[in-house]
Amino acid sequence: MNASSSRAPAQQHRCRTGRRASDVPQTASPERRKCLGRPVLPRRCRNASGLATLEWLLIVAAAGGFAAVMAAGLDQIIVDQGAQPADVHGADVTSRIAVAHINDRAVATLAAIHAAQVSVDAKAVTAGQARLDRLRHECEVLDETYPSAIRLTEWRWQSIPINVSSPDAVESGTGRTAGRWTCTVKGRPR
Amino acid sequence: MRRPVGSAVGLAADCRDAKATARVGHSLRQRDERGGAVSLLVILMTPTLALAAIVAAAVPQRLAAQAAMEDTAAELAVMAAVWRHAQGRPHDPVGWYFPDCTAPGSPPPADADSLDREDITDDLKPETERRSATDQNAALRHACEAATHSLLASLGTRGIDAHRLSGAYTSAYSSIATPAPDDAHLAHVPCRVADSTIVAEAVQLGVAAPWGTQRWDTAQIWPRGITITGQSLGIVAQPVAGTDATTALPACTAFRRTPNQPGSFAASDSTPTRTAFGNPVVP
Repeated sequence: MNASSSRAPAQQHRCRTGRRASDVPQTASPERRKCLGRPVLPRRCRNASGLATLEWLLIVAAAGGFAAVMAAGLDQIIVDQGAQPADVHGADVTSRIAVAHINDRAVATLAAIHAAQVSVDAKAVTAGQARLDRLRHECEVLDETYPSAIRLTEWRWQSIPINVSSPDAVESGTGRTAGRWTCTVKGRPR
Repeated sequence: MRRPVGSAVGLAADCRDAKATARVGHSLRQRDERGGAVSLLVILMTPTLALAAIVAAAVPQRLAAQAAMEDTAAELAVMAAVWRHAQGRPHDPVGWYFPDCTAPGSPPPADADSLDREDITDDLKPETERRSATDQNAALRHACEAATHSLLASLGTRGIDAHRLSGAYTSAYSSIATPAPDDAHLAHVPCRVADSTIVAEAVQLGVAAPWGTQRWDTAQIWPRGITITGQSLGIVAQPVAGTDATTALPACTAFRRTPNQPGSFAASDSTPTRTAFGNPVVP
């Protein structure tokens, strides 16, 4: 079979670049093969960018993989940065703020209980006691809420008088000396 | 031009053409590979550089916000210590304090003149004393309001949600009667910091507020925002005349530490009470 006749359709092939295959030198000659020792040009024409489809696929896959690795790595770095000692320090601060809020609500509740006892409002007294119980529970679970910051919690009565506008309401009713319930905590050693 | 085929001259010319063509093909191949490498570099580096730019812009903002919060904590701690000392309130909220600037135990004023009306209704005091107290309270309130506006503006410019700021300060260290046995480093006041200077009062304070939710670039890194915290120790130092009085006092070992170093929270935990201020919801 004649080689030149079999190559005729390929020579008429028109590449996407607009360059004709017949424009390139003929490579079928044995002398030329001997001269160069290898084919001079590839059999298929390349596109404008010079990259084959498979190469583009590899580039896109590499870009996607790189972006995924970078996203995961940076996200981990950021999370680690946020969870470093500054976060422990933040837990220390926020846990003490929570303690302060419990203390303030305990004072307000105790004042309300005293006022209800003066006005002989048993329902309000019961509601106030229930509120104190909830505050006590909130205090006692602080070491679970902030395990990195609080080692020990204690709900205890302290003989610190409450400053309210009606002193009679504070001094009467409970049978206790003037004082308040406070939530005290012990932090973890650093 | 058509060259003769099969002759030596023609074969040499063909070889030259073939070599020239090979060089052109090789240079095209090099250019293609270089173009592919550049494309790969652009594809990989563009998102990386964009993310790096966002991070580079957001992290300094976070550090600036942290510094602003620490400064705010320091100023509020000093204010709390001085206010406690001046008002003689070792426990409970001090009056004319951040951010409400109201009288102790009273709700926030509905208007600017409510403070004066409250004090004028006190008929038990003499006229001159009443007026003096009114002027003093008005001065305290104005000082508190000026400090509050300044601090809130400073926090706001750093991206901190100042309206959700929450904090707490301890009771006065002078209120500690008997130290707990496991608090060997417990801070006592008054104590001696120098031969002629004592610490008369101290208060530990901590503040916390959300940050990063109001700006686009920081929200890309911290979508839910983060809580910026700060804590500080405010002290009231006083000079004393003679050294004999100070030598009898213990040294202020606990107050030499900076607030962020170990032991500061243990010292603050030894105080009997804490008072909250600001937003009631802990961030």
